[in-house]
Amino acid sequence: MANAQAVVGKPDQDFVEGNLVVRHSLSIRVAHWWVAVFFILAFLSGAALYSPRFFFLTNLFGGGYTARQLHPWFSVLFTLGFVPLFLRWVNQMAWTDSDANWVKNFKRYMRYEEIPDVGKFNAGQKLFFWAAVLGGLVLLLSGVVIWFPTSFPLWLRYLSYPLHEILFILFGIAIIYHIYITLFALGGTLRAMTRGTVTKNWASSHHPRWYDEVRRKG
Amino acid sequence: MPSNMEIRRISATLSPSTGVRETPKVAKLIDTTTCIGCKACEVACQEWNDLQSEETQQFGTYQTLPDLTPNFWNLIRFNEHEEDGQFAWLMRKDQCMHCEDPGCLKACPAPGAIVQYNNGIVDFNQANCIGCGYCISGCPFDVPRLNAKSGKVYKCTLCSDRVSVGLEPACIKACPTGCLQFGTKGNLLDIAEKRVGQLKAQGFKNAIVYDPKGVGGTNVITILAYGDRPELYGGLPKDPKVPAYLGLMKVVLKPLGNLLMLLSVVGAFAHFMRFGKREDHE
Ligand code: HEM
Ligand code: SF4
Ligand code: SF4
Repeated sequence: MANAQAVVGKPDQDFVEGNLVVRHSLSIRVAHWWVAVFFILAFLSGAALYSPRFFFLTNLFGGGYTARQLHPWFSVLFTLGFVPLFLRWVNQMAWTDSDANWVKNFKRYMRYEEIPDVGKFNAGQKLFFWAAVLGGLVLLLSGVVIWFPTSFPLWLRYLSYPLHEILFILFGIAIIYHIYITLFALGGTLRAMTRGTVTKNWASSHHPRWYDEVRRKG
Repeated sequence: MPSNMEIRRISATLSPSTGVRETPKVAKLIDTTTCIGCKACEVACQEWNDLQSEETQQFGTYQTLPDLTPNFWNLIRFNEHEEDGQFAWLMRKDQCMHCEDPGCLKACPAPGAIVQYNNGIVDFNQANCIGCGYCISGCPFDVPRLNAKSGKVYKCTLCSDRVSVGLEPACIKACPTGCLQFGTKGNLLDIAEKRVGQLKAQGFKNAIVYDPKGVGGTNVITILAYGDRPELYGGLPKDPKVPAYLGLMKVVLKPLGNLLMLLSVVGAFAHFMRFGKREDHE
C-alpha cells in the first residue's frame, strides 16, 4: 500500500502536515457537503408535506406545487452524492471489539471523558453511517412509490406512506444530533469537514488509535 | 332546493371547522335496477363541466371507457351476469361517492385543496392542489384522477356550482328513467328503502341500499339488487374503509414525530447547557 502510494503520489488524507492532521480529502468534503445541502433541501420540502404545521416551508420552494415537484429530485441528488461517500467510507465503518467498548463507555463519552482505542471513526459515527445507508435506502424505495403512486399496487402504497414518514422522523432526530455534535458540542470538529484538517490535540483526544497510525506512517 | 355552501372540513388545516349552520345533507340516489344504460348522464356531465371529450374505446362491452379519467367523471359500468339460468345486465354509475368520512381529504397534505361542505359534498379546489396524488391512494373507491398536463386531480363535484344556486346536478336533469334522483339524504333513503322492499318482494332477497358505514356513509347512495355481492357492479367494494395507514399517520406518527424532534432539540440544548463545548487536552 505504501509503495502504491509512492507511485501515484501523496495520499489524499490521513497524514500529518505541520501542526495539523489531514482527516478528510477534498473529494470527500465536497461529497459530504453535496449530501448535506441536498439532504436539507429534501428534508425541508418533505417537512412541508409532512404536517400542516410546516406547510409554510413550501414558500422556500416557490409554493406547494413546485415543492412537491422538487422534493424527489433533491432526494435523487442526495442519494447520488452518498455513493462516493459510501465507497470511500464503507471499509472504515466495519464494527470491531473496540466499538463495543465505546458503546459501553457511552455515558463517559457524553461527559466528554476521553475513550481509549478509538480509530478513525468511533462507534457512534459508524452507527450514524449505517443508519444513514439503510435508512436512506428505505427512504429512496418508499419515495419512488410515492413519486409515481399509480404505477404501484395499493398495498405497496399503503406501506410506503407511513414508512417514508417514520424514516423522515428518524432522520430528523439523527440530523439534529449530528449537527449539534459537529457544530456545537465538539470543539475543533467542523474544520475536519471544511478545511479537511484537525489539530494534533483533537486527533489524539478524539481518535487516539487513528492518530497513532497516522503518526507511525510518518 | 338551494343549499348553503358552508365548509365543514378543509384538508391539511388545523383550525376548527367553520360550521354553525344546520344544513341538510344533499344526496344522489342511483337505482341500478331501473338504469337502462343510455349514458345521458355521461354526456350531461361532460357538457355541464365543459370537459374535453375522450375518444371512446371498443373493448367488447357497451361501456364508454375502461375507466374514469381526469376528463371523465361519470362512467356507466356495464357487467353481464348470469345466475339461475337468468341473464342480467348490471349497470352502475361510477363516480365520486362523496363520503361522509372522505379518505381523499384525510390524505391530502395541501391546505384547502379538498373541502367538504356542510351539505356533504366533497370538492377539489385545483388552485390549491399540489398534484401529489395522495388522495388517489386515500380514496377507497379509486376515484380521483391526475391530469398529466395540469398536474392536478379531478373528480365529480356533485355539481356543487349548480347545487349552490338551487339546481339539481346535470346528470339528474338528463336521466330519462328517473333512476337518478336528487334530494336530501333522509328523503332519498326513504325512497330507496321502499324500492328495496319492492325488489325483495320480486325475489331479489339480497337487495340493499349501498351506503357503506366504513366511510361513515356516502352522499351518493346506490340500490343494488345483488346487494350481497357489490363487486358484481364494476368492482364496487363490499366493505370499503378509510385506509388504516391514514389514521396511523395522522393520529400516531405526526404528533409523535413532532414531539420526538422537538425533544431532540431540547435534549441537545440541555446537554450544551450542562457540558458546554468539549476542549481537547494539550
Ligand atoms: C444532511 C445529511 C448529512 C449526512 C447524511 C451526513 C453524514 C455524515 C457521515 C456519515 C459522517 C461520518 C461519520 C460522522 O462523523 O458521524 C459525517 C461527518 C461529518 N459531518 Fe455530516 N452529514 C450530513 C450533514 C451534515 C451537516 C448539516 C453538518 C454540519 C453543519 C455536518 C458536519 C459533519 C462534520 C464536521 C463531519 C466530520 C466528523 C469527523 O471528522 O469526525 N454534516 N457526516
Ligand atoms: S393531488 Fe391535490 S387534492 Fe390530491 S392529495 Fe395531492 S394536493 Fe390534495
Ligand atoms: S369517493 Fe373517493 S374522492 Fe370521493 S369523497 Fe370518497 S374518498 Fe373522496
